[in-house]
Amino acid sequence: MRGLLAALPLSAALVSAHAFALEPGSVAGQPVRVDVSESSSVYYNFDNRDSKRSQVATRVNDDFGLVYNRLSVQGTAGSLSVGVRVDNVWFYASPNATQLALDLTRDAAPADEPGYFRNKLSEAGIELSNRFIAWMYPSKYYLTYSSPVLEATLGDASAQLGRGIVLSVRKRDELGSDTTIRGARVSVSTRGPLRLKLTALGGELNPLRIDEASGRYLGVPASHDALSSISEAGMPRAIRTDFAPLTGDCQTSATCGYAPDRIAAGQVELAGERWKLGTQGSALFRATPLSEDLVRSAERILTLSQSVEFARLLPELSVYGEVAFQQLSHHADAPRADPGYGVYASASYTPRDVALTLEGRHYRRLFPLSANVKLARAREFSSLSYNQVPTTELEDNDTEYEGMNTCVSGARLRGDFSLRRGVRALGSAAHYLTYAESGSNEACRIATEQLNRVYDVSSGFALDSSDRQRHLEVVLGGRIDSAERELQLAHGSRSHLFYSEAYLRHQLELPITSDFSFSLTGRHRRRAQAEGGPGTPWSEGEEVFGVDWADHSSLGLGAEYDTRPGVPHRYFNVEVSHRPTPSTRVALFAGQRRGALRCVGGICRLYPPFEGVRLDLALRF
Amino acid sequence: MRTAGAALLAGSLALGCGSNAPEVPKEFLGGSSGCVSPDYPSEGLGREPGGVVANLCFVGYRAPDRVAPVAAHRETIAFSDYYDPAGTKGVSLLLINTSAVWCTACIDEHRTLPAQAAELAPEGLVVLSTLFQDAQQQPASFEDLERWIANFDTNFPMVADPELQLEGYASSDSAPLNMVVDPRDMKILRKYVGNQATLWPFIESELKARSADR
Repeated sequence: MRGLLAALPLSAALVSAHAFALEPGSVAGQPVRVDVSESSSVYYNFDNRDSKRSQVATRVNDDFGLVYNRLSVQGTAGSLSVGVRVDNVWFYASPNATQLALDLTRDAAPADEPGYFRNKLSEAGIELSNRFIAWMYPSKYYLTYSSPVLEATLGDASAQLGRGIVLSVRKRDELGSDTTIRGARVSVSTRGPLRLKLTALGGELNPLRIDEASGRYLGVPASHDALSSISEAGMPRAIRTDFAPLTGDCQTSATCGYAPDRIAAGQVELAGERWKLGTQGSALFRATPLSEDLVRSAERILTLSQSVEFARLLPELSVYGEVAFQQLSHHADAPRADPGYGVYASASYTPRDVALTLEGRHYRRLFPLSANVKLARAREFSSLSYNQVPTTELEDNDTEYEGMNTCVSGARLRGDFSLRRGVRALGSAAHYLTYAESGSNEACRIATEQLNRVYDVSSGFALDSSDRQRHLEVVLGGRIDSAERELQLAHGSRSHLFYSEAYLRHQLELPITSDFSFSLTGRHRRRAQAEGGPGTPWSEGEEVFGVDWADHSSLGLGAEYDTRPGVPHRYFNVEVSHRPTPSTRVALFAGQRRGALRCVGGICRLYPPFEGVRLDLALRF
Repeated sequence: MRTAGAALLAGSLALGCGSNAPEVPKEFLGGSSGCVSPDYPSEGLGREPGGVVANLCFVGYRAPDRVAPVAAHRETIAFSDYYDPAGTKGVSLLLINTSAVWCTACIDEHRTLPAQAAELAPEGLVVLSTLFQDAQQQPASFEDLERWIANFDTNFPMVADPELQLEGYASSDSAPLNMVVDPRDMKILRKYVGNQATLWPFIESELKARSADR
C-alpha cells in the first residue's frame, strides 16, 4: 500500500505533464494564437505535529495527499480572446472518520468510551463531509473584446476600483485565492487631453472553491434562479453524506459552505495630464446569510467613494486621496448599523536621493466586504472578501488584531535616504488610535475604554555594489500596542500592554561567479500578546539560505523556529526548483513549515503547520 | 509516454479501490454511561440550526457566584437540565457558549457576558458556558475553569469541556461559538461563530416574543 501511495503522485504528475498546443491558424483574416498552460501540484501531508487531545480539527489535517491540476486555455484573435481554466483535485490519501475517532478515544481514555467514541465519530464525519472530496470544475471562463476605446468581458473578470475600498477582486497567490466576478464587465474610454473612462460590471462573485492547504471545498446550494443556474453550472455543490444530510436549505445543510453573492459596481474616471478624478460604487447583494456577523448577515452593502489623484502636483510630489461611505442594510428585525465612512490619503515626495511616503487612514465602521461563507463549516475561507481597505502598514503586517482596520485613525511615514552611491538609510514610523482591536466594537464607539494606541517604528540600511549584484539590507523594528483600559491576563494579573514586538529583517544577495549566487534572507521576531495567545512571550522566525544557478535553477534551505509552548520548536525544509525551458518549471518542497497567520494588505489567513512534500509542475505553450 | 502515464494512473486507481475500514472494538460500541434523560428529545438530532442539540453533560459549577467554585462543589450539568417543554423551569431561552483561555475574542466576550446574563435572567435567559482549552490549547483543567470564573466574576453555569464535546457544532479553531437553543424542544435557533454583537439583539427579540406568547 505504501508503494502504491508513492506511485500515485508520480503517475498523476506524468499524466498532467502532457498538455498540448493547438496549431495557430487564422479567423476572418486575424491570426489566432492559442496559449495553453498546465500547472499541477502534488502534495503529501504527514503528521504536522499540531494534534491536541480530543480535538478533531488538529487530527484531520494529518496524512492526506492530493493532486491539484489547473489547466488554462486561451485563444486570441485580433481584439477577441476567449479562455477557460478548469481546476480539478483528487485526493489519493485522506483520513478516515472511524480511524480518527478510534485514535482520539484511545488517546483520551475517557470514562465513557462508547459515548466519547460516538461523539468523535460524528464530529469527524461532519468535518470530513466537505473535505478531501474530488472535484473538477470550470473555475474561470471568459470572452473578452479589447480595443483602445472599449473593453468588454463576458464571464469571469477581475476588478479593482480606486484603492480597493469599494471593490477589489483579484488573484492573491500568497493566500491561495483568486476571486473574480462572473458576469459582465464593460469599460469605455475616450482619448485626448481630457480622458473619460466609464466602467460598469455586475454578476456573481466567484472565489476559488477548493482550498489546497486544507482540502476543504466550498459547496453551493442548488440554483434558485436563472443567473445562478448559469453562473454556478458545473461548480462544486453541497452534497449529502452519512453525517451531513441535505435539507434543501443552505443554512441547515452542513456541506453548504457558500451562497454566491451578487454585485453591481461602476466607476467614472476623468483624467487630465497630471490628475485623475474617480467616482466609484458597489452594491453587494446577499442570498440567505450563512453566518451571523454584522457584515455577513447584511442583506445589502452599498459602498461609494470619491478619489482624487495628482501624479505630479509639484515636480517631486504626488498625492492621492479617497473618501468612502458604506451602508449595511439588514432584515427589518436585525440590528441597524449606522453608516460608515473612511478617508485614505497618501503622499509621495521624491526629491533627489530621498523618497518619503506618508499614508494616513481614518475609518469609522468601514468593513471588509466579506463573502457569504459559513464560518462554522468552512473557516479556511473566512478571509474571502471583495474589497481591500488599505491599512497603510507593511504589506505582510500580521498584527492588526480583530477589527482594528474598521475603526482606526493614524498614519505611517516611510523614508528611504540615499546617503551616497550604494548606501541607503531606511526608516518608518507609524502611530494609530484604534477602537476595535482589544474589544469587539462593531458600532465603532469612540470611548477611552475601547482605545488602543499603536506605535510602530523601523530603522535600517541597504548596501548595494556599484553593479547592483551584491545587496545587503538590515532592518530593525518594533511595535507597541497599548490599551487604555486594564486587560485581564490569563494568570489573573492585569496590564495595559495589549501586544508588543521587536523584530529583525535581513536580506543578503551575493554573486559568487557570473552563474552562481548565494542569498540569505531572514526574519526574527520577539512577540508578546497580553490577552489570549499562548500566555507567555515567544520568539519565532526563519532563515532561508538560497543558491541560484544561471537564472534557471535554485536551491533553498530553510530553518524556522517557534518557541510558543505546546507547538514544535524547530522546522527544517528544502526547496529545489528548475526551469529546463523558459516555459517550464519544476519545483519540489520537502520538509516542515510552522503554522502562522499570513497577511497580504490586511487580508489574513491562519495556516496550520505543514509537514510533507509538495511537487509543482508548470508548463506553458 | 502519455499512454504509459495514463496506464500507471489507471492501474494505481484500480489497486487502490477496496475497503480499508478500521475495526471498532466491541467496548466502544456498547451503551453509553453518559447523560441519561428519558424525556429528552431523541428525534431530529442535528448540529445545524433546526436540529435538536444532543444531550451532552459536563462537570462544573451551576451557580459559581453563589456557591464557591471549589472541588467540593463540582457537579454534573447536562443540557437536559434546561429542557423545559412545559415552561415549568422558567427557562425561555438557552445560550450555549464556548470559550478557551487562548481565545482573545472569548476573553473579550466574557468581560461583558455576566452583566448581560444578569440583565436578561429575569426574562428567562440561561447562559451555559464551557471552557475547553487552556493557553497552550491543551484540554482545560478545573484549575483553568476556576481561574476563569474568578477573573470574570462568572454568574452563570460554567463547565469544563476537556473532551471538546461541542466541536462538532463549529470547529474549536473559530471559538467562541454561541448557540441559541429553544428550551421547549432543544432545537438550535441560531449559531454565531466569533464574538458577534448581532447575537444580543436576536436574543432580546426572542425573549420579547416569548414573553408576549406567555
